[in-house]
Amino acid sequence: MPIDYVRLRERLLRAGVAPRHVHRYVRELRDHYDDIVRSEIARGSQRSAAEQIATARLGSEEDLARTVLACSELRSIASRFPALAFGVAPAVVWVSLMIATALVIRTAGDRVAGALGLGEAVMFTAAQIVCLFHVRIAPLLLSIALVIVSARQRAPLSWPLAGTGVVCILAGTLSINVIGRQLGVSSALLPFLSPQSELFGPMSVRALAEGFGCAALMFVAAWFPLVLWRRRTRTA
Amino acid sequence: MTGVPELLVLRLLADREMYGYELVQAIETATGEAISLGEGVVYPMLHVLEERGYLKARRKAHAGRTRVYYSVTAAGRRRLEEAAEEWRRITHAVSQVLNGAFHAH
Repeated sequence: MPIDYVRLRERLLRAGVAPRHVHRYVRELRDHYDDIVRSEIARGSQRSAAEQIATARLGSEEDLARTVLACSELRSIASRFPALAFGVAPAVVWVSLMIATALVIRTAGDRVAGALGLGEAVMFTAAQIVCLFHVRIAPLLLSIALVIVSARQRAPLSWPLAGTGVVCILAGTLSINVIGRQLGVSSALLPFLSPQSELFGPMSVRALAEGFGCAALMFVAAWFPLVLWRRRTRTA
Repeated sequence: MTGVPELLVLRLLADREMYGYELVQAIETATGEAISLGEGVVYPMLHVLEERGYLKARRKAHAGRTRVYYSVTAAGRRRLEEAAEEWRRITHAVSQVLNGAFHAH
């Protein structure tokens, strides 16, 4: 029975084999099959006989899949640690990015402004753009990247959903404002989680609802292309 | 026979870079067809050796098609030396037993 390369590829991806190994393996198998067929035809075989020989020499689909699945080193990091890769890492990356940017602005902002001869107004606008990027654009880009990686790896949806959900909720309920030469960080969510903390602003149900609305929009924007793509591939 | 395919692959790729089909042919030719690896299952082994840093892979055009060529890295050469030494030690020991050069107590 000839190898169904698409089925083999899907089986390996769903089993957690790293996409780069899966795609290369399937391509190598196809090339190998073609090489055997060409070589047999060159030796005088009919095409159909050459294809039968190639199928027999390459091995059954089951054997080919089992050999790869036995190699734990070929599994992707995300399939080995899905909670870490899809659940925890995105939030950590986003928060780290914000802290790193804040540190850079604090330590080098004035020097850069001085060197480039930028006025207060320009610096204020630049700071606002950076803040907007961090609370709205960066989480969305991060969520989209997470969705793409999880789709590419055929990962179960639970952890990517949780990971993007956490990032979107944290980002949607957070706001960073430039006040004079300071950054004002406020969260609509944290006061509800820790009522003693007044560092992140007052407890406001309205602000929380707005934050969740924003989070929902980011979440839908991140997942929408995948839903659309899945519908198209199903109907195709 | 554990480790034999790895040893053969490293040894043959140490001479020149090859793609999978070439490598399978080279193993059969070099061993006088005494050893033939499962043709489809040679690739996972190549990928694993690459993951371990013993091989490196690169795409290269050949006869109008691009192929993935494998070659041995410096770590792969060291691994080849170790594996070859281990193989010599084992074959020497087995030969001694087969030739009766031992003293049973």
